[in-house]
Amino acid sequence: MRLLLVEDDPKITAFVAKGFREAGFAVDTAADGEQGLDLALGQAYDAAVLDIMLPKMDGLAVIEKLRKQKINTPVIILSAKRSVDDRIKGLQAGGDDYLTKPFSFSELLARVQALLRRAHGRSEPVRLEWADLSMDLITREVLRGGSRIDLQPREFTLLEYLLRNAGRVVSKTMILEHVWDYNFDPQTNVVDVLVHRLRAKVDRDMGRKLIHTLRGVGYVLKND
Amino acid sequence: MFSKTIKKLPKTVGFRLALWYMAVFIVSVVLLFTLGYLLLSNSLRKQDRLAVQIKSKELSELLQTEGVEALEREVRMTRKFKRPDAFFIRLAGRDNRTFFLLLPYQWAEFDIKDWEARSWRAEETWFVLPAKDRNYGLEIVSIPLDDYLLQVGKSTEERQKVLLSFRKLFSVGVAPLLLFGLGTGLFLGRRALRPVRQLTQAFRAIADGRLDARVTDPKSGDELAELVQLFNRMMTRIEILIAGMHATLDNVAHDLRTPMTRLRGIAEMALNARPDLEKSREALADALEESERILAMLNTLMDISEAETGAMKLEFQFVDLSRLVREVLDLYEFTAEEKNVRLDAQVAQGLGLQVDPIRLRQVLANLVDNAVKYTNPGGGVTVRGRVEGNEIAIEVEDTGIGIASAEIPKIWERLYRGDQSRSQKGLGLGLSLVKAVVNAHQGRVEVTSELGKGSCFRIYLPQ
Repeated sequence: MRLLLVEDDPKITAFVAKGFREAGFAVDTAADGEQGLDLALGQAYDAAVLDIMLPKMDGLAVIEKLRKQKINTPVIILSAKRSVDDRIKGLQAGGDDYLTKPFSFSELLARVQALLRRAHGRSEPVRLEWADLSMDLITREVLRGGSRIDLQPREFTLLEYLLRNAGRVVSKTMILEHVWDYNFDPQTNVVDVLVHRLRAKVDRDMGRKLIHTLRGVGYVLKND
Repeated sequence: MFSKTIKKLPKTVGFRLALWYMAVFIVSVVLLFTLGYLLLSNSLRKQDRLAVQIKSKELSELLQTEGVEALEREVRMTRKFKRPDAFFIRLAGRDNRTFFLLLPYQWAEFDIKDWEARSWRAEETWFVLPAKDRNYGLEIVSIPLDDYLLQVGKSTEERQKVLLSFRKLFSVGVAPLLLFGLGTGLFLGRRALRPVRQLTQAFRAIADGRLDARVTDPKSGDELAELVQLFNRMMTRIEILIAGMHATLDNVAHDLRTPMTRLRGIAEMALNARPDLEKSREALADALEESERILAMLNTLMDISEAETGAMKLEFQFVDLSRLVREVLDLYEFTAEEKNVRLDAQVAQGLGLQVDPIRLRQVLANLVDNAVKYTNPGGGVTVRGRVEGNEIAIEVEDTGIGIASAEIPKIWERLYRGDQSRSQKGLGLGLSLVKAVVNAHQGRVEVTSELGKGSCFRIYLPQ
C-alpha cells in the first residue's frame, strides 16, 4: 500500500511515517501543499493523510485540485480545529475522514485502513472470525469455543466492530462514533462500561483473553 | 495644528455641506429678489400708466369739447407752475408735426425731430422714450384723435429711483447674506456632523487600544443617533468578547498547568528511575492518559468559554425532546445497569424545541452522567420533560448522595469539586459547561438538593 503524508511539522511527519512503515505501508512525505499536490498528481497512492494548515497551499485547496483532476485517492484530513463547521468544510471539499490534533496514531492507522477497505469495496462477509470466536452476521449468533454467547444489540455492535478491526486498535472516540453515533466525547466512561460488559461475556472463564485494553489509546481484539 | 485644520477644511464633509447650503441659500435669495423686483417694477409701471391714462383722458376730453386752444391754455398753465410731477404732453397733426409740446423740466433736452419722423398710428400705443442720459425714459401713450395725435407721458424717473434703491439694497445686502449663508451652513454642517466627529474620535481611541471608548448618544432619534447607538452596542459586544477571550486564555493557561505538571512529573520520574522496561511502559501509558485528560480539559474549557462569550456557533434545529432524552439514556444504559441504578424517562410525547441538538445532548449527557455517578446502587435517575409557562423544563432527578446547601452555589464554578465528588473521576467542568451552554440557548439552570436524599437539576429553555 502506498501512502502520501503531507504535514509540515517534521516531528509529526517522522512518527506518523514510521508508524505507517511499520504497519507495512510505503510512505512518501511532503512538507507543503504544493509539493504534496505534485506528488499526488504524479503517482498513484492508495491513500493520503493531509494536514489542513500547510505552507504554500492549504490542505483543502490540495483536495479540491485533486478531485478536479478526478483523482479519487481516499484522503484523511488532519486538523487542529475541532468545530463541527471545520469538519463539514473538510468533508465537503472532498475529504473522506477527519481527525483532530492531537490524535492517537493507532486511531489514524485504523481510520486509514477503514478507508482502504471501503475504497477496495471488499464483498461484505457474512461471518466474522477471530481465534475461537465467531460471529454470524445473518443469524446474529456468536460462538466462543463452540458455546453460544448472548449479546445485547450494543454489545453485538461493539464486538462486530472489534472483529472487523481485529488486530487493530480502536479508540474510545471511534467506538462512540460507531456504536452510539456520537461525534463528540461526552467525557464519560460509557465505553469502558460497555467493553467491560462485553469482556465479561466473551473472555470470562477463558484461559485466553481476546479483548485487550491499551491504556490511553483504546481497545484491540488480539491473541495474547 | 490650526493650519492643518484649515488645509483639511475643503475636504471635510462639513465644509462641503456648508458650501451646498450657501449655494442653495443664495439661489433662493436671488430668486426671491428677482421675483420681488419684477412684481414691484410691474406694479410701479401700472401705476404710472394709470396716471398717464387718466391725464390723457382728461386732455382728450378737453380737446374734444373745448378745442385745441383750451388744451393749449391748460398746458401753458401747467408749464408755468413747473410742477415736478408734470406730464409730457404733445399734440401733433395727422402729419405728425408738433403743434405744441410740454416737457417736464428735467427733460429739457429732447430731440423732437426723430419724434416727428415717426409714422402715424391708427391705434392707441404705448412706448417708452429713452432720455439722452438713458437712465430714465418717458412712458408715453399715443392716442389718435380725429385730426390730432395726442401723446401723454410720464417720466419713469421716480419709479426707476425706487427700483434703483431696491437694487442697491440687494447689492449691499448680498455680501452679508453670502457670509451669513456660509456661516449658517458651516454651523449647521458642524452641528449635524457632531456625532460623526465623535465617532471618528472614538475610532481613533479604539485604534490606540482603548476599547472602552463610547460616543454620547445625541438623543435626536435620527439616522446618526441610530448609528451612534449601533456603534456603542457593537463596541460593548466586542469588549465582552475580547474580555471573554482574555479570560479564556487566562483560565485555560491556569487550568492546564496542573495536568501539565502531572504529565511532566510522570516523564521526569520515569527518566530518573533506574531503567526498567515494564515501569517505563507504565509511565508512558500514564503520560498518554494524562495527555488525553489535558486534551479533554482543553476542549471542554474552550466549549465553556465559547458558550459564555457567545462565540459558540449553535446550529438550531427543531428537536423532539423525548427522542433526545432516549438517546442520552441509551448511552448510559449499561453504566446504570452495572451500578444497579434505574434509568427512567418521563417526557411528554410530541414535546419539541428549537435547540442545537449536539449541544443539548452534551448538556443532558453531563447531567445524567453526574446523576448516575452520585447515586448509590438501588437508587434511580429520572429525566422529565414538560411545558412550564412559556418555557420547557427538563429535569434530571436522582436519589443520590445530594449536595450540601453551602456547596450548591459553587457547583457551577469551573473546576470546583465538592467533598463528595473528589473521589469520583472527572474534570470538574461538566456543570460549568451545562450552565454555559444552557445560557447560550437563552435558558437557565436550577438545582435543588438534599443531602442524603438526592438532587434535582432543572434546565429551562425558551419554547
